[in-house]
Amino acid sequence: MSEDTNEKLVPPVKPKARFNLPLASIGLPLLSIVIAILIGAVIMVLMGYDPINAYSALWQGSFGNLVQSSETIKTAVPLLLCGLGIAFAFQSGAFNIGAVGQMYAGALAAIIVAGQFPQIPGPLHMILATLAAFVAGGLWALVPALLKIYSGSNEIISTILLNYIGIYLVDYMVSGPIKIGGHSDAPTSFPVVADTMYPKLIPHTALHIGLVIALTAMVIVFFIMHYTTAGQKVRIVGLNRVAASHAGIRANQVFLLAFFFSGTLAGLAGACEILGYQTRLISGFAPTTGYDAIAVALLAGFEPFVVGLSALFFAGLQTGAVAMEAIAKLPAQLVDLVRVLAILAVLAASSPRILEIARRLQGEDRKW
Amino acid sequence: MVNISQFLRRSGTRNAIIIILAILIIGVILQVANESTRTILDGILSILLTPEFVKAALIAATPLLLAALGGLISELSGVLNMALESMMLIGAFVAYTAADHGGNPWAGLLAAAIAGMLIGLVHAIFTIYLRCSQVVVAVALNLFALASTALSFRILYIQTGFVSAPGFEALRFPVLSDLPYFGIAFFQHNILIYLSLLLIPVMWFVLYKTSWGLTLRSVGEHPMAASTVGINVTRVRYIAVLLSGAIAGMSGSALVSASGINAFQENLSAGRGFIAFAAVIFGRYNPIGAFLGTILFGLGDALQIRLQAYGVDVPYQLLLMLPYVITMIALIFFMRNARGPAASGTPFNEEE
Repeated sequence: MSEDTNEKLVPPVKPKARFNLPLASIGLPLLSIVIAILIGAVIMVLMGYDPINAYSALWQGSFGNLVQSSETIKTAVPLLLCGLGIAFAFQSGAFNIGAVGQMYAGALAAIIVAGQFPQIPGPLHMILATLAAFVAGGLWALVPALLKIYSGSNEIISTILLNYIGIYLVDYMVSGPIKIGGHSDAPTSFPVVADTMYPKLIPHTALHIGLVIALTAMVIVFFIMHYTTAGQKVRIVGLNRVAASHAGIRANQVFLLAFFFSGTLAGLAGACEILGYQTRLISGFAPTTGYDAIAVALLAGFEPFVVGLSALFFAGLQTGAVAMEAIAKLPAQLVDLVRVLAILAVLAASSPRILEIARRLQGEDRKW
Repeated sequence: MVNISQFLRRSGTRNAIIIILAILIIGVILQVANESTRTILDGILSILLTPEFVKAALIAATPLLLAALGGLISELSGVLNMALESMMLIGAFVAYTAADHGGNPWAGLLAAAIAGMLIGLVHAIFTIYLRCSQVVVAVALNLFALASTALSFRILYIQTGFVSAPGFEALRFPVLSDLPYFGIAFFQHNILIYLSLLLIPVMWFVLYKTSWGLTLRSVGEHPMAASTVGINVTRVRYIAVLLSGAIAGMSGSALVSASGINAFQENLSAGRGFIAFAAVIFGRYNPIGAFLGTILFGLGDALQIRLQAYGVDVPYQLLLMLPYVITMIALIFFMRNARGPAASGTPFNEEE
């Protein structure tokens, strides 16, 4: 009986307790990836391509050598940052689909600060630009959170609307107010001041200090989620808002905080794109990163360290897809399909129904 | 004497406030462009009065209307259908491909309905059988739609490039189509638009005047009670989600038709599925409200296109933003008192 009530309290949202195995949080995504790769292979065969050839090209293009690996890791940085934010927000039941808009806001703030004021000394300037992105992302995320609390607007819809608003805002800014001078027709912003660029970690590769920021964020999010009362509050609110209120937790406050924090990470991702390697803001500079990051977080089951691996996997697919298209002549969009299949597999495998069946099987095992 | 809060709570007043606010926002946007606001507002007014504007708004609203009606069925049964976007996008691609290969827009419409239903089936299996989070599944399905349509479009049309598929022809009614103003605004549309509009009363009747409609709504309000009186909750929800998928899939066909050139492009739906989802909520979970909600977006979309065509000296990026801003404002004002089905969003488990 007590087990029944427990199950009722836990909504089937969180793929949390998986088979009670310590390795399950990594094992499950891995298994799903394998399944997705196999299904992907079947699709390739059906389309008349050689899957082994395709996958080896994919591997070569993503982790084949130092340059390619550094490209992949560079691509993983914004995915990881946004993914962490999304994982954190989803844990508290705040469905933040707005990483795209928050990232755009962050990038916009970064370019506005880093592209002007050359009199500020370099390192300070870099930090200020990063902070501006951090704050801008957070504020952009606060809008849907406040709307939810004060007018009951569904945060999923408002974050999506704000994504489009953010995208068009950047389009407008780079073709107007912050457009580079001269007669160039291409909608491009002015470049950042040279010494605000993130220093490279390894010379002649794409690796920049944004990786350190992302990895630090990963550790911090892990720590907050698992070892602080704030993290516990976030999870309790995510599991049951009403129960949380009865326990004296201010659910609205947690909701606002989760949204703000999640937005700041997406804002940082925007800064990493601009200050890390793009040097200037262009229209559509990262059109899918914010959405891909949702997939990254879903695949990882919202566990910070697994988010890191999942971001690396997604980034590998993204950079490898180019090589796959060039060498094996497969359409690059095929890898998108592989990713989505992996997510669907992980969702199915961590669903309450399957967990129930697994528990039942485990229970029977014990009786034996 | 009516006090202010009562006055504000009247829906008529609320609508008026929203329209005023929308116009104010437009004014602010126009101000940014350093133009004399008054001449531009004159421009907007003259656009609003043309029959072509009403026509364009209706065309732009139709895909949303179909998607919203689809979403409504599912939502009333207690399953949040945030996968409308994916149904719309896949529906659009399939409608385009089938119409192109079958040489007939009806083939496209049928294929879109079937494709939408298949997505509905996947959604239903994940949310009803596996009891996954309805939001999370929808997010995954939307990513799936984006990936699969982009891939298929590339494979099928990489050589041929841009082609226009056969579309629904605009109908002409004797006398009515030749009426001044109303002829252009209301009586020169294609059949799909009239069918979509017809679906509003049909759905209202089915949902509120038939026993199946009552069953559906009871499942959404209180599945346990429905189950106690012998209703098969799971089956009703499956049927609702499949139907929802079929109608939302057809919205893809309307979307291809609304493009004006009967063509598909990557991410054609561009968030319209979510706007339809919003329209269901601020339309207070009934077909007529959903229609009004989608019309609001249609007006914004049409205004945006007209303003561009009118040659108003406003950056077009800000005009493109307009429909989303309008929806956002509507969201703020209408969400407060919208009350959905009580069991919406919660999976049903008979064993509990």
